[in-house]
Amino acid sequence: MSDKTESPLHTVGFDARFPQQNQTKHCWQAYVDYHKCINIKGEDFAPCKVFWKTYSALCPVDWVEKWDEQRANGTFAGDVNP
Amino acid sequence: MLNLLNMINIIYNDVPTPYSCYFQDSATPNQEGILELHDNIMFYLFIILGLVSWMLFNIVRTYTKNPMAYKYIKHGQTIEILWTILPAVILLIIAFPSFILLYLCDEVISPAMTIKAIGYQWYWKYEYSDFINDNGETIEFESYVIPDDLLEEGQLRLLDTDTSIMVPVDTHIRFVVTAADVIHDFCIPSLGIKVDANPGRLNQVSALIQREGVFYGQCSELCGINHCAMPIKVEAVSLPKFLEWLNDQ
Amino acid sequence: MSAIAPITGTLKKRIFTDITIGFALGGAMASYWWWGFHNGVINKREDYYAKLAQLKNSEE
Repeated sequence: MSDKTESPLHTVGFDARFPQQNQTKHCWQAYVDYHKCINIKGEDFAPCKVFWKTYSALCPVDWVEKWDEQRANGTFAGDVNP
Repeated sequence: MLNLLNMINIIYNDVPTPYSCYFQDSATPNQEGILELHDNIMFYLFIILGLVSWMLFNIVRTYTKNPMAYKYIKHGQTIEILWTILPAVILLIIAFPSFILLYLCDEVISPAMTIKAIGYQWYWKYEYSDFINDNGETIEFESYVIPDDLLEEGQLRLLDTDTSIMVPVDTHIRFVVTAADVIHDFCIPSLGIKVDANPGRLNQVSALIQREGVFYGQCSELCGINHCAMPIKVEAVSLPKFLEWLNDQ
Repeated sequence: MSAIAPITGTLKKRIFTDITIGFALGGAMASYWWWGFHNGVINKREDYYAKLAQLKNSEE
């Protein structure tokens, strides 16, 4: 985009940990990081938002719903405890 | 005369047309690169075709008195070295530009927006999760093919859909492609995109659309009985118009 | 010893002309493909984008 106007569009940028075409782990890691982050720092801790933005941009809504359900049931595979 | 091939080539459009024998119009740098590479390789292929056809024609024509067809020659060291080394060299000059292109197309460095494309049997679902409304809901919609009996004048059979992907032009877009049931394939020829949609895996691919227009694609991995009936329709519009569309959602 | 001198070098001569003709044929087809067809397509596209850029500049 041109420099004169700030673009209203923002999304997750390049992450050196996930340079490949396969972004599955990028989504997963962001989801785990976010929930670990809010479990430690609380829902309102602003830096956690980065992870939230990342996973919501990359993960399909269905996946997020499934993982949310698993976390509620205590069957989630990732380590989200503080 | 020089435009003979251009006349045969009736596909000067963003959609596939009957009996077309060349690419659809390119709209992204990626597709321009693919087209360039294809034409480059075709250049070498024409040279090979000319040489081989002429040699074959000559061998057939002069077979009985041709010294090359001498019937007691069982082994020719020199010619065997030549016809091993030369094709290898030709393959190398084709390979290097193709690697450059491959790795360039693979890069998704600084996209401005992400669109998720999820393949289902047999429709696509798109999610624009960069944008969240006040209720915390994101934009997501499904895109079905328009059945033959509901087609309106001017619509394309098995290509037009009820909802289409809206994208702004001159914007770096990341497509995140996945599937929910079987393998599908997200393919838009004009944008130079073809990426498999695997269940449980997210593939990313980028596009920078340089002009406004409507681009069509089809599912390109055999995914079941209605594989033909899950087309992809992309509408590229200017950024202000895109933002207007976003507000309507 | 034969009265006629042995005929040699025909193979070499033939293969040389054949390869030349073969490459000439291929080169002609390839040249038509590249300069006759490919460049036309590219120029059409570049003209379109040049016009588009001009249009955008005039609008601003």
